[in-house]
Amino acid sequence: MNQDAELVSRIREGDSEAFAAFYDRYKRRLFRTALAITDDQGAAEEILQDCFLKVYHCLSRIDCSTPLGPFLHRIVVNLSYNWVVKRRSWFLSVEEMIDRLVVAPQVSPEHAYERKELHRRLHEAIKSLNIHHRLVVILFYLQGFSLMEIAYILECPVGTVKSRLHHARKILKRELAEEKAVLREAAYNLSSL
Amino acid sequence: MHHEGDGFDLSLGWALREFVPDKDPPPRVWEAIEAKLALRVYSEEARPLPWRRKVSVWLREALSSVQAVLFSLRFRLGGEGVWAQEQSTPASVMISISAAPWPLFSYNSQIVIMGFQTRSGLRI
Repeated sequence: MNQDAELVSRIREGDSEAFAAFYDRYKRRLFRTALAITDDQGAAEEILQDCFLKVYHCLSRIDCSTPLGPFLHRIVVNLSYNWVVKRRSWFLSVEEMIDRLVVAPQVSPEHAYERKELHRRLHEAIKSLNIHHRLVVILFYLQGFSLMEIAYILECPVGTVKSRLHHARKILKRELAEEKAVLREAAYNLSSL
Repeated sequence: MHHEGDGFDLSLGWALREFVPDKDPPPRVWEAIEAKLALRVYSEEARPLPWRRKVSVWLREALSSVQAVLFSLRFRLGGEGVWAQEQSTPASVMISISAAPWPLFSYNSQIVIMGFQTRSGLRI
């Protein structure tokens, strides 16, 4: 029996510690996804809370024979999507975003500027995507899910995921055309800090 | 990654991972979950319904009552029913009747007609 199946089985028997362990196992990754989609700490917290309450109430229907990551992401993505559509907002304003960007003390002023500028351009590029493209980008590039897994999470055919990813990539490439060199260099420089 | 990618994909992946915070949610999230489970206050039904759902529920209730009356009229008046006989009786009426707490079944036909007219006039 895999770890998920064991935990779910214990939760079904009323073991609250097992539910806490289950929460600990997935909270960080799910929170990050919710945060990436909503870019709102409060909303991400609420979504995470709702996700685990939903899971608790549908324990009997959980299929533990497959990994639970995509299943949990499906719930989080649905909740986040509803939140975004309702709020019709995406990332924070540029000002808020810049304020939020805390530069690590060991980063040189050049790198700090580069990082800030890159974040701003990335923010604008992702903001230019529609919600369906954004979801695919986040699940693929941030969480590293496969196309099949994304299709399961978004409840759509793999072909649709491929097409959305292709279009999103095209838009991002265009939007970040000037930043391509900076992006590559920054990825190299900042990751080696 | 299963997508055919290039340097751009790698850089984009890196940038997203770099800029989206990777941190634990605050303890208050778990505390809220625990509290809700302990109080058993959480349920889909207990949550406020969106307005579309509210309207849908209201309409269904109203219509099921009317359907129940129509069926009752047809049943009670039989061949002598005036307009009630002309009303269609969809399959859902049978379900509506068992679900709708309609007290007028036990009344006589005249009251049923009045009841229907009043209800339909007010609610539909």
